[in-house]
Amino acid sequence: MPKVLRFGSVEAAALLIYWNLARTFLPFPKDFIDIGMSAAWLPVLLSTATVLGFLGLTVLVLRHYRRETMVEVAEDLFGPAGGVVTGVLLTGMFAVETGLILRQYSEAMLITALPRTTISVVTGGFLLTAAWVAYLGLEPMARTCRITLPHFAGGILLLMLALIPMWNWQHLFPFWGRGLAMVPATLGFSTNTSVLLATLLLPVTGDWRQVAKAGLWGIVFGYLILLIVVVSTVLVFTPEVARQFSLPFFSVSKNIYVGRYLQHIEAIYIIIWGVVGVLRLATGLYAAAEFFRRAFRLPYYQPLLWPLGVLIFIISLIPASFAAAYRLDELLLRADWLPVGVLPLVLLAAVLLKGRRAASRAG
Amino acid sequence: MPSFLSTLKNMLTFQEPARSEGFILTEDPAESITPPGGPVEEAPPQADGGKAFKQPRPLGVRRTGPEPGPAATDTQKPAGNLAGVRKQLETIYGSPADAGLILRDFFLGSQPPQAMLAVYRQGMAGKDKVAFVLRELMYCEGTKVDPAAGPTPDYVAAHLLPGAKLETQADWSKLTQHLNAGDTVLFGEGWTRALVVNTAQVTHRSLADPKREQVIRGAYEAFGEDLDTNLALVRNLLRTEKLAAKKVVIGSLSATPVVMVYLAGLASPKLVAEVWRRLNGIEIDYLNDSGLLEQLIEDNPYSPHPQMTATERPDRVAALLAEGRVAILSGGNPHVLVAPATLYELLHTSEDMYLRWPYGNWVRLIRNLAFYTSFLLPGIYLAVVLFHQEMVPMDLLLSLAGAREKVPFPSLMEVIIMEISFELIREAGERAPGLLGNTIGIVGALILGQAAVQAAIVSPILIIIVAITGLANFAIPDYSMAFSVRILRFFYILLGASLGFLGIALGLCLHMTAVANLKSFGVPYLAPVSPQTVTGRDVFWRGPVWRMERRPDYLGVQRGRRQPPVARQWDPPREKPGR
Repeated sequence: MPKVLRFGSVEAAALLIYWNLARTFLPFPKDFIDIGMSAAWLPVLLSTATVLGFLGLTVLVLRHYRRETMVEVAEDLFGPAGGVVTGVLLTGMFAVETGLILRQYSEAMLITALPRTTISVVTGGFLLTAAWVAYLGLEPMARTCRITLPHFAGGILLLMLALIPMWNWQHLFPFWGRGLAMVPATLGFSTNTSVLLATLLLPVTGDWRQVAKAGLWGIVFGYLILLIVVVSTVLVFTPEVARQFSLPFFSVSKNIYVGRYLQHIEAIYIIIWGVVGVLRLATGLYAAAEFFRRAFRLPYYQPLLWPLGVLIFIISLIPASFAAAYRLDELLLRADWLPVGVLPLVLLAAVLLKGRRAASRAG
Repeated sequence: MPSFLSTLKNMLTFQEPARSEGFILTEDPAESITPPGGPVEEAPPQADGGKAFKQPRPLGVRRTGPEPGPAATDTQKPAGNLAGVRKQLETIYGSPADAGLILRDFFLGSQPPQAMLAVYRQGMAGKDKVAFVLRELMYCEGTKVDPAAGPTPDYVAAHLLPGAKLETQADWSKLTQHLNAGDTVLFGEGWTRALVVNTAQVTHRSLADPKREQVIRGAYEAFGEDLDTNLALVRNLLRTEKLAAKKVVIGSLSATPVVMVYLAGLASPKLVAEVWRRLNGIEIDYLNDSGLLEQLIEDNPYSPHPQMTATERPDRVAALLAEGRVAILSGGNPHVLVAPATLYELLHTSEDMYLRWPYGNWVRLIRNLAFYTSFLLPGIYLAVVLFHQEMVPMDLLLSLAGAREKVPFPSLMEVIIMEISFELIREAGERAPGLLGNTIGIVGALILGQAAVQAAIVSPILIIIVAITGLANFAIPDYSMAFSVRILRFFYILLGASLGFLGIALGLCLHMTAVANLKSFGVPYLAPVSPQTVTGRDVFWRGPVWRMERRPDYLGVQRGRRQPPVARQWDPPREKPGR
């Protein structure tokens, strides 16, 4: 018999925060600097607003149902085929995204800490740990996120505070950066799969209000950290220099020099990266398996972890390099408009249409 | 390790779990509300556990005690004459003399005299107590009884014996239990029931100081081996009629008495029912220690971390009972189990509360640092030395390199040699008798360490690392928790040596999720932080005593508030000026 999951909105929010936080350690902040230059904070805010809009759209769909995810909603509206198509689409999307994130994390580890280690060892280590964590389930994952979040958030805050002496406020000017030209570029990758992940939490938290609350906190807090990192990078370096970094967070943490005996402490942050990365990968693996399970009404997701794990491992090794993996990830972010933006919109339209038809029949 | 391997096996060959999960301590909305006029009267715990169990495990009819003797199945009741009773005793015990039974014939000093037989077990029954019973019965010359009815067991109990604990019993299986426990059983000519007199008197050591949980400020009293004395120690600290104790006998050979203690009207009835259900669901032949009992009733026996508090301090037990937990005392053992336990609670000591709150918080901070140090420090040292040298300032790095220059072993080998040596010294120190143990510790730590450095087998910095790690481990108050992190340390050493900080991070992920998955009697191990629940100011930090007003919510207690909002009634809160 499947395990009954229980946790509150705080744990759910922590899980979503980690989902968003994981990208902050990768080249993701660089894109915002690329778009906004001195006003890099502006695309971040715009992106946050867009993602919150997607969350609102998704919640509008979910509030018509009790404890169903997008798969069950699609099945209800479009029949079994609709559910299967949606489930497979979401499974594929999460699997590909997790594979690309896995590759980026592995490459980042090779660059920052393990230059002489084979990539498959690092990738395998990440994936095996993530598979174990995913096997244990969503509940321990969310609880681990909750318990580590204050420590990690404190660590990141400390890092940023240590950088204050290097901040140069002049780097923020011109204040509006490239102006309105930033908007279309930002919208291109202002998608975020945490919105879809939040729908998986509905059966656990039991209420769409809780999902909305957790989603809101997850997105706002996750993007707030992103904002701090982006702004801090621009303040420490110039926007022109900052956009060159493949790992902006690592680059700024390398710069810490509090004193002779407190320098080069960026290695300590590898622990934070590692834990956040594993939890992100585990959540992605879990989400892919869970959406597949729901699409085909299987009783357990656990047997799917190995095949999906192998698939993710293969996907992670497809890109030729770190840069290639990141470019593919950027493409995927743009393609995510379909499941994150279009799918809820279609479902919402169908729900409203169905409601009207039912009302007209009853009337 | 077995937990890891079993989970790995399950991952590779997934099989549908037989049942979804065990007991989950959930809170009923009604439970959190204290009705006006006092606490809720607790309903007696039900054997089926009510709604508390998702899938109650079917239990067979439990034998609460030793296996019945061979004769008990043939003739349940004592024979009506003393010769028959002797034969029954021979059937049950074989040779009564070999079993240490004393069969003492005597006549009741009544008018008319009555032939009697006293049976007791040598060494288990107190000589003085038996002599007292016999004297009372043999010298009651003035007592006249109805010749037709004769002196029945009830009559003897009511008129002739002044002992406090008397019982008439007609079941041989019960009678043998009493005999085996040291009671004296009196048979009379023509009686089909026997009279049981409590004469059990096993010699125990007197109460002593705690061996493991010593404090500077606080009581110097620890539990002993005598169950009744241990129970009295708890009752002495909680002098309330709400303190309930339920007894069960476990072990078909050892017949160990086990007592579950809780505060009725405070502890969650679901929790009480679950503890009682687990205690009654044990089928074992020999149980002589609470350590065995702990392994039989804990939620996840494969986890390295303890899921119950084992303490030798009565004040700790009383304090935990006052929070709404359940204590389990077992006969012949000075360690009392308390359930449920959480990670945070296992890092607390009773002294934390006895000291003023700033001092209490300081020692907690040190202890928490010690907890992380005890399993992470050697692994982090290896990670820094092997992978992240850039972290170390140049002067220190040169010093480290200089110290390691003559050492022929790789760093990993060096750490493992030292850690195993330390474990060896520790184990030898614990096993060696008395003062010799201390000597071994000093000799091992000082002389061997110094010699190892001079012989260039290990570097001086490593001696410091291992010594700090060892000290940190000693600072962990719970013995089982200290043990678990001692073992886990070696995994972190291997991870740190193989993948540096990334290895440590991967290990932490595995470790943390496994711990987050743990439950102790249905309570998540990381409560009240994750899941986040309402609780008093006693988790990582502790608040001032007068502000610790709430009991932990995760225990599902019937009364969440410990004390009125203003505990210092003599010092009412001052109103702000202008109001």
